[in-house]
Amino acid sequence: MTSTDAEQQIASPEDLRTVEALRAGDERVFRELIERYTASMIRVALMYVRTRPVAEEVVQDTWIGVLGSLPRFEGRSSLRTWIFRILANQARTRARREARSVPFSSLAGPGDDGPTVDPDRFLGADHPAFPGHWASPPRSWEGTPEQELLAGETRERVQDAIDMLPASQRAVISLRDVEGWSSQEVCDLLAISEGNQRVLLHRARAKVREALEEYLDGRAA
Amino acid sequence: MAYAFTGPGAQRPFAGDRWPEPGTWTDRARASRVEHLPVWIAAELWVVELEGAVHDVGTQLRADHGRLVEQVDGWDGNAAAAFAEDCAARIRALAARSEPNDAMAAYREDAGSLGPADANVAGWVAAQAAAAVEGEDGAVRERSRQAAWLAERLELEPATGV
Amino acid sequence: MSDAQGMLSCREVVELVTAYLEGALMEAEEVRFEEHLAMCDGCAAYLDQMRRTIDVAGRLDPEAVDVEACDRLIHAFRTWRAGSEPESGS
Repeated sequence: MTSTDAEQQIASPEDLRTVEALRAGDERVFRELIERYTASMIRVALMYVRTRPVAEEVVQDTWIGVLGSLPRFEGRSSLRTWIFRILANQARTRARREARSVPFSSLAGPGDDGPTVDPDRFLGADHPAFPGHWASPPRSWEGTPEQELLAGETRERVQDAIDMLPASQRAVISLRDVEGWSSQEVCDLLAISEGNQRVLLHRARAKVREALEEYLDGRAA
Repeated sequence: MAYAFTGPGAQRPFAGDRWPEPGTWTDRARASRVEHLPVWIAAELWVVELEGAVHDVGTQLRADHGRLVEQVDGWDGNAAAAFAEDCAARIRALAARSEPNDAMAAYREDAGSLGPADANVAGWVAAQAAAAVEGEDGAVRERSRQAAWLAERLELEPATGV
Repeated sequence: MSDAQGMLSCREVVELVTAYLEGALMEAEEVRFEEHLAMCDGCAAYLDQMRRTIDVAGRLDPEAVDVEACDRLIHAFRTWRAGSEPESGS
């Protein structure tokens, strides 16, 4: 799912209907909205505040802020973008208030730079013929039955791997790959460059792939 | 007209999708001139037609649109096996000419295990071996030799209109 | 760590996978990346695994919201609907 700048600037007819329904007091619509976005909002909040309870409070405050701001929704952005912008502002404000907020730059995690694949899986730079080539290459998953890849347990493993990522990697991979946000949307929301976003996404995906490989190779063995 | 190697079932390499059936245009077409084919060796070889802004990027031809025309049936398991064996023979010949060293020993050992499914690797190892013995030019010459082998074996015409 | 043909090593390729999938590589680098994949089953498998991983991620079930948190929000919604100023969660 991708959005052009133009698309993400304008609320869809569905967004406008949702806002109208909320303003008319439709509780079911509100419940659907919180169920759809809350988990993702908590993940984004955790990029700014340190603990989950605080992140959950930020998200609660955000939803209340959303309700109060509904009259001001002009449809110049999608409803989702609008909600998450309110969230990001709330999270940053809260982070500034919390004495021990985590600076964005340190959210990558300790020692989280360098190669994303275990160097032991490659031949050394001093190998006479094939320096830097796979020593133990990944095996093709083409033989893996489709239902195994789609199975609930496989998805659980991927979810677990995502949950264990450092906060900013987790947020980026969730927004991009789980929720389907475009690169532009994520960069705009988090106020980071394409390059920064790509690094976070790269590290996140590498860890999740590795976890999935361990799981599937374990089953194949 | 140019040529494109694909995976089985006209799968587009690295793109995760397939070429549409022959005759149907698709965007972002990739193909090669005959002289560059060896680096792209894969399961199937097709004649492709390109349209729109066609330009060379190294060994690849890129165009706005392209479509498969017909498959080059001569490129099958036998041809791939013959290609791999020819490269293996080339590696052994190069090894015989060179001072014993670890690199050539590794290439020659690799060559011994190359089968029809490894035609792509065979071509690369042969070029590496040629470079080890004859310098970087050696790799270029070896790839040209491989291209000529393919052109003769498969009766390929030079790319036209690109 | 380029080889005699100016090509990338596998160790370099795996670090370019995300940029490749994003379409962020320059043309020439993209072709070198693809040239490597053309002759390296290991890296071709790695890219394929990465694609499938992303695919599975896209199929994850939406996570359940904490029931208590949901109830509190519904309560806040009702308060807001009734015209009172909703209380903040903290």
